[in-house]
Amino acid sequence: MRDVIVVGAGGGGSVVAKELAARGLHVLLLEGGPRFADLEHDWSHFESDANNPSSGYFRFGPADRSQPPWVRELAQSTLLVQLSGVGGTTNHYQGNSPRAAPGVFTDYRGADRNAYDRAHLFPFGYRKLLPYYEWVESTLPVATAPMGLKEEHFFRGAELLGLPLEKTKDITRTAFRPQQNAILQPHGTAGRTSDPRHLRFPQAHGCTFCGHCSQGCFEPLGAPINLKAKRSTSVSYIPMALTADRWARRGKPITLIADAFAVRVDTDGHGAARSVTWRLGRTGEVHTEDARAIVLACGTVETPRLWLNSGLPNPNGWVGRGLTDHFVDAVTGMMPFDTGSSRGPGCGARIDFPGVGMLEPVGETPGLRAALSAFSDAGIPGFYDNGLPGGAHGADLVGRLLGKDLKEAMANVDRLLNIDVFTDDDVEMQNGVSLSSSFPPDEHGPVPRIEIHHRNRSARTIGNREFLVGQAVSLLRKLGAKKVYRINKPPFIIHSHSTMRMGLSADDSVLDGSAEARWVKRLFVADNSALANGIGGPNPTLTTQALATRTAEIIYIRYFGGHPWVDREEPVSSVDPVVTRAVVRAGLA
Amino acid sequence: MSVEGRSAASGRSRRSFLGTALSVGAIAALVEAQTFLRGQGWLEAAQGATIDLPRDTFNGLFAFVVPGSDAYSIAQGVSTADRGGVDAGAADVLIATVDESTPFVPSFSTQVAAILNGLAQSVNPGRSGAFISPFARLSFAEKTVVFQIMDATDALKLLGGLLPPFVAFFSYSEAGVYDPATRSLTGTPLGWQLCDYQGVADGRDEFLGYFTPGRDRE
Repeated sequence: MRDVIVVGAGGGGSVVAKELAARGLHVLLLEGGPRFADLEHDWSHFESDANNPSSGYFRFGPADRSQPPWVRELAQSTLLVQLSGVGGTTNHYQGNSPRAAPGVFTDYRGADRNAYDRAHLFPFGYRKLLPYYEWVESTLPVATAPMGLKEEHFFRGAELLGLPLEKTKDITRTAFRPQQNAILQPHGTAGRTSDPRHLRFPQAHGCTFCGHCSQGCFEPLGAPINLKAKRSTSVSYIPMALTADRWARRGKPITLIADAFAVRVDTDGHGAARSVTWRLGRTGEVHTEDARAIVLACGTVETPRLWLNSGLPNPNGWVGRGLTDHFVDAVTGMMPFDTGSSRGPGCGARIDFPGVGMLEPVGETPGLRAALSAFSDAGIPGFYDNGLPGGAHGADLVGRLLGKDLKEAMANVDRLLNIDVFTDDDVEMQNGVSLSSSFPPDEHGPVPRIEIHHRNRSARTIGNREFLVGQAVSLLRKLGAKKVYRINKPPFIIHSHSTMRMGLSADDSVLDGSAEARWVKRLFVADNSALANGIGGPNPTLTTQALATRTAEIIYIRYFGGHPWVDREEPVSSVDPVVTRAVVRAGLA
Repeated sequence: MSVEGRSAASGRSRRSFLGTALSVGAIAALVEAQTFLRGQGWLEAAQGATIDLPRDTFNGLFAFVVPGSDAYSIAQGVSTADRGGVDAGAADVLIATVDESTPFVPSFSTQVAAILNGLAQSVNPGRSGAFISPFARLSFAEKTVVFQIMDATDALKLLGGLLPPFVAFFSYSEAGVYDPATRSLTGTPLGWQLCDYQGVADGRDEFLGYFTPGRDRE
């Protein structure tokens, strides 16, 4: 019997595991994908090694790369960006760590409060979450992003739009700002040289501006794992969880089992969560273990799949429903100057439009940039538009870039300035995850089916997206773009949330305000699926991590007789020397 | 190719083909794509295809997404003076990726090729040329019609949506010269040359300080 079993070692599950390990609980953390224990060996800077959807190490599949990826049914043209392995999607994220828009919480009284999805608010106030934000921001840690060229251009464009600079960590108005990123700021030679002879730790410390966030960060070379620049949970929370006895007074190290895919959660005679059953990928062995509390953190797709495959109750039909994905679009400018698009951290700037969404300049390596330029639901410019509503807003081309259009756009990847559009989108029951009746089950049971009716999104969602696209086009035009492309994407699910949403009403939510399942006690959810909504457009990871910290505290108080700590103690940073010593002594790579 | 030419090709294909295509029930795009093939009588042809047909077809696709100076690009009537996706050498990688993506559908790439070729024959059944793949023989505008049909066909939407980005990814990444056994490159990727990419690095001299209002750099 464990105290707690956490299923999923991604952005949320790792947080719960570390926090409860620091309290002295016996925690078992299961991860379905690979361990990623030696990043400098396991990862590379090559896109074809990392991002190939079938065989790349950042695919969604088993640890053994000779085996095929796990299949899911997509009901529409969709790029579903999932990855398995310790660290989850924080391994390839850009480290962006903004807080949520206050308008999506119950305590918001701003004059623009009706601009938000008022029907699906978080079931508590923004101010209640602030201490947990601060705890996570100190632990990762989160810091103001430095500038590369693309950020410098983006800031100039924002100023040309007449926007003010936001100086707080909160979203208070329409404004631009440097991102708050979970990336260590550059020191020493980092960011100041391209010479590999001078880029090893400790000469280089923090972000080296290599431009490979999407392939996973193992820079600077030679750094202890907890001092790698980008603060994926694989280098922050996981090393802390594995060494909790060495840096926390009453801590106990977690047990981490990778390549262990949870296939079932069972309940006891009272309907409370009792056990987790998982399958080891390398042997096919099946194990079951009991726990006093169970936390699901498998992601927005896999958590509802596990729930449904376990036959757990779903009386209101909301398990898996209400998927928000920020209805992402992209606007790209071909600029008459160097943009540094392929260099530096993926994204160090943004503009918040409260109640509407967010714009971010996002740099990528060339294969990913080309792929994302060719992924559209608006046909092929000059040939057909696929009947998709949505205007050009002054862009020269709308749709897939193919043929000479793609070749012209990609003539110099560092003269592109790409702006990703993240919409404050509504929770809608029509969008979500269910079990496929068309695809055969895999070794873990029926596979998930992802369904998004993107052509039938709410009027507010569509209006928000069109407004943001117009702002992005204007910004690029003011900077002197030679050509502007609006891609008009079908669902491009890099941010996904709210498929197991917490909510005010039992009629349209799965979790109560403590992230505990309404119909299964001792069962909690701690990934993006627990979010009540799309948090207003900002990148969701920090909010999920703050919520996961709050959930860990609730579990400790409710089921282990403990006391709260977030308001009473100082967090230990994952880069604190005490953690570095612990990590080195434990022999973590 | 004039805009009128594009529209004429589009209209002809839709009238002659969509009625049949849209009658195919569609829930699961990839599985349904197989059903679609069988419904059109193309599955048997796909299974009996020579090994070169998928590669020939995918070369026609690479030329469509990233044209160059190769024979496939010239045949479609849209080519460039410099090299393109065909010369990136990644057709085999795409074939392997497509096959691995649907492990429960044997040799899915063969069936994808059959879909593209079957649609090509409906768009322009009389199109002749040097290639064994009917899709590779189409003009650029006719290839857009194939994708228009896929976009309008529930069973093929996912496939039509994902093929161009996959091809673009493999054309501009190092996939064509990446050796997975050694996890190293066997040459300079063509895609990097096409987009003037500096190549992978452990770090770059790019740090410009921190933003402060009224001053770009500090």
